[in-house]
Amino acid sequence: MLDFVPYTQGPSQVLPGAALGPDAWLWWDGATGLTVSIARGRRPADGADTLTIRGEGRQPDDWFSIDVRLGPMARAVRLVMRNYPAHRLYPRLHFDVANGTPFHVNLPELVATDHFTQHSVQLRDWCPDPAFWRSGDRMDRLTLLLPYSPWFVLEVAELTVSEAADA
Amino acid sequence: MPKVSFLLPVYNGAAYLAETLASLQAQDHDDYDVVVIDDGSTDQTPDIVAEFATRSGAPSIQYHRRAQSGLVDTLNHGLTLLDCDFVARIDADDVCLPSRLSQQLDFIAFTGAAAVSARSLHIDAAGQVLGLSGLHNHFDADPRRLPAAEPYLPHPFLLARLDVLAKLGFRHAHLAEDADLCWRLAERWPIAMQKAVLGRYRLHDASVSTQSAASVKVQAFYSQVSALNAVRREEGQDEVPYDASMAEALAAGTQGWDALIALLRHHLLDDEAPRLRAAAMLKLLDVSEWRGYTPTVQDMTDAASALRDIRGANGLEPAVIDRLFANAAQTQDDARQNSQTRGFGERIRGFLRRG
Repeated sequence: MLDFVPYTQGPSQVLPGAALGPDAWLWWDGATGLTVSIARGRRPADGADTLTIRGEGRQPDDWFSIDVRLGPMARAVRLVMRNYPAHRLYPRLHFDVANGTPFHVNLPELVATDHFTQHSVQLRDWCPDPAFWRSGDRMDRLTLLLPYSPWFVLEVAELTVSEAADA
Repeated sequence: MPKVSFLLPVYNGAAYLAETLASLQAQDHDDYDVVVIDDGSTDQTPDIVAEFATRSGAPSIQYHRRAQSGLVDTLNHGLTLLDCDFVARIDADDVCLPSRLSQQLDFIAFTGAAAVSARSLHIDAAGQVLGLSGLHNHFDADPRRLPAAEPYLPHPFLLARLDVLAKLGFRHAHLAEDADLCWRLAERWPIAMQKAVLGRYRLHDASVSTQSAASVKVQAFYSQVSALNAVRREEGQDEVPYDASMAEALAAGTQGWDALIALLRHHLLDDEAPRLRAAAMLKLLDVSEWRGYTPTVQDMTDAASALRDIRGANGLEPAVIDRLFANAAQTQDDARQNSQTRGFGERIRGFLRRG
């Protein structure tokens, strides 16, 4: 899902909504002092392409997340990344409903490390009702909230949405 | 010009130097050299370095010998000799794991920090593991806390940009030159702490920081002076000068806290002295957790008394103080098995709760 082509080895400052790929983007409030850049890099272990995302000037309570759009058949989201300094990522699954108010479910936190780590979120585990899938309501997106620090860096090597549950 | 130079100051380090040099020569990164600054050793240090320097296929080892001048001057002299992008600090009794450089270089590039450090296993003289170093959260640094919450990077495994270290230099903050450096680093550049364990840090009778109760007191005291200086810099005031010699500082440390405060009496404001005294006493309890120093009952009663003198002051966090006293009392209970000290931590906690 990641699209490396738009980015170069040097960091480019980006705006809220900057795409990591066709169905993944960064989100924060552009009215805050947070500045974000993206650069293309390589993972030392295998030379695989990566996207390095840096943020500076973040204040407490400033939102910053990676958002992933979920299609009707999405079952799992897999992310391979490392980050600093956060030790946790907070996933939130958003639902869109045919009649009523959209809602979200906060999923268990993911342990984040400064080594490349694979995170896997099983979406079906978090649907509120088995009947949900026949109602016309749907999962809308998954957000991965980064906890506060005045500056941060994320390096993403892989981001995929699969239609089969991950093993 | 190598990408990295190990900067290794040594004074009479023959006991462990071979193990240290072997670990430097076993790195899985190949663009580096080793610069040894001998601070006037009188033991077999030169011979050991010479033997490693002649090994074929090993990275270059430069040996520089000078008249004894102490660690700070030795480090600063070493910085003037380097021609590299990054400096990797190492002491003559510590050991690097083979991937130290490769992992740190990747981490410093990833984070964009000017200086990084890593965790280490604490070992004793025989190499037996004593424990694992903690993770310091430098984003919560606060020089006004008691004791100060430091933006600390463990110095023996520091990797930093040479241009940054050369600009800052090391200062004579006796036995706390690393804490002083970290405050000044963090004020101007991003710094980062890696979770990975990349070395073994040796605690033994000849360690700089475990030589005597006086040296531990001096270290605790000057670490808090360095925090006070961070406050003063932030407020645009002149710093408290580090103008006492090491000998004077150690002599004062032997005499006690009053003597240490007296070293700076012409430079401290009225409200700074009691805060500094309390902060240093609390720091002594803090460093005792990992410096092999067993705090005495007198240390704890002194600290409690100092806290009473500044009751209500900003920067006091009951949970932190409670932990320090509890750990100190436990350390003493464990070390002495002295029934008279059992429950001391609980009594101190009661004292603090009563305010």
